[in-house]
Amino acid sequence: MSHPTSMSDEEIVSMVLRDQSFFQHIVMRYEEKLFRYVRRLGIRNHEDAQDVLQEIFFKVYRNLNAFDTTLSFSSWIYRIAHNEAISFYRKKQVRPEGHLIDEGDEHLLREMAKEDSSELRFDKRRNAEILAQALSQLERKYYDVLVLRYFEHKEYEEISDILKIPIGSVGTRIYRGKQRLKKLIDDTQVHI
Amino acid sequence: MHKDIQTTENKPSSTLAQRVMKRIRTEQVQPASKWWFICVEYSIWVAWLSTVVLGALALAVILYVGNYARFALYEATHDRVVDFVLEILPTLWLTLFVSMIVLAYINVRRTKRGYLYSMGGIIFSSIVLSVVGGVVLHFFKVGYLIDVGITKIVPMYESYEEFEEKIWQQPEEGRLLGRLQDAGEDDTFVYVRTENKQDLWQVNTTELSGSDLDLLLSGKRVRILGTTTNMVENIFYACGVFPWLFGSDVDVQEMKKQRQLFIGRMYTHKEAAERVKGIEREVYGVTGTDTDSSGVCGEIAAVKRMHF
Repeated sequence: MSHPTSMSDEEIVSMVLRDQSFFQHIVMRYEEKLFRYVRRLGIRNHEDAQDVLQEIFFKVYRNLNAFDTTLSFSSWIYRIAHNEAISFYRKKQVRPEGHLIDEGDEHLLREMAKEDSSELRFDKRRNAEILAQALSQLERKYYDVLVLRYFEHKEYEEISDILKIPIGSVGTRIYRGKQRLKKLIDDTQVHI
Repeated sequence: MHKDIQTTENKPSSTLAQRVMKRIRTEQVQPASKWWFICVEYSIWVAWLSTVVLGALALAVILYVGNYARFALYEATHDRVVDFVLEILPTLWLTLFVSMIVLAYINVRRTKRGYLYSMGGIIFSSIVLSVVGGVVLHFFKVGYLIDVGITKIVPMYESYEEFEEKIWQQPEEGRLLGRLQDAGEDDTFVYVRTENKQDLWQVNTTELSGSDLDLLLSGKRVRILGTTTNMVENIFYACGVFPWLFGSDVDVQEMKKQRQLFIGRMYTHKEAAERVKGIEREVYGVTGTDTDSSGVCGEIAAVKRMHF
């Protein structure tokens, strides 16, 4: 038997169905990624994020047989994480607490600009604070796709699987999201 | 045994991993059965199929009503075609059809890969399937059977046949629905019994064509168009007789033929009335206010509503 580190997600899933202790490898493989993801989705409190994370993995385990092998496991687990974050807001009856953009994320936003330089141009003056402020004002549906595309580095097909929207809608939302983000950034700078 | 492995991804088992594993063991949680998820997925598809079938059934009734309405003698019953359309509009079935398309869309979106299909694509395909099903069901007269069948289950529901019966059983409006009870000595006056109140009407057949009179004398259920000359003594003046065309064996050609006959009959009455008026003008200089019996039918509402 090969070591879990060299196994694919799908192989580990099939192992978990035979031996539940393998599940810890799933948890450890995705723990950090999903922690960052739920924080980016607006759960800023560390304890809350940990609780949500635990709930995500618990649900993943319970629903392992629902995993569609035609999807990537990563997309499937991100979808559960996304849904769980939304459930968290609903349960708490609160809005997402702004969107967390670390200073380190600024370079990722520049990537957005590189993809379509006519739409977004970042210079050094546009710091993380401006970006965070602009992103926090962005509509949820645009924010979600931009986070997945530029922060989680997901392909269009993966974003489609995670958010359960047609691939065409992913492209449209990314394009419109970037346009709106640019406008928000411009507006923010005018007010500074 | 793998349970002894405490490290993976080249690092110690995380606190979170330990907490999750502890909770799984403590609560003795097992992954839900694969069959459960398969059943859920299939039930959604079954629900989708049900909505398409229900949509097809609704459309079959809409087609049945629309088909009858196409050849209805609406000039005999309504002042304006729009009033007729609004009255017969199968709102319930149209609502059901639209609701089923919406539900079909929701169901497809709830399937595992439903999100990949566009809204327009799902709605279009659901409509196409329901339309194809509806046309096939209509071909086998299912629309008629549903419309009539529901009245037996839901007394408040009025089928299209009941609607037509209702509007043709209004002697005060110049419409009678019934069968021959007794033919007079020379067929000028016959007795017709209506089916709702079982009233007996004396019907003047002076202006009826030969074929109309034959139809009336056949004893079949017929629609008689004319005017009431005496409501107290139940005397009716007939201007046209048309067969009662309801049932699963009525075909479109027959309905079309009857509509053409109705238009022809109304035209004949109008022409006759104008001829009488022309003669009156020539003889008396003015048209008479006391229309004699040969011009009664030219004055009925249906003739005036016709656009030739």
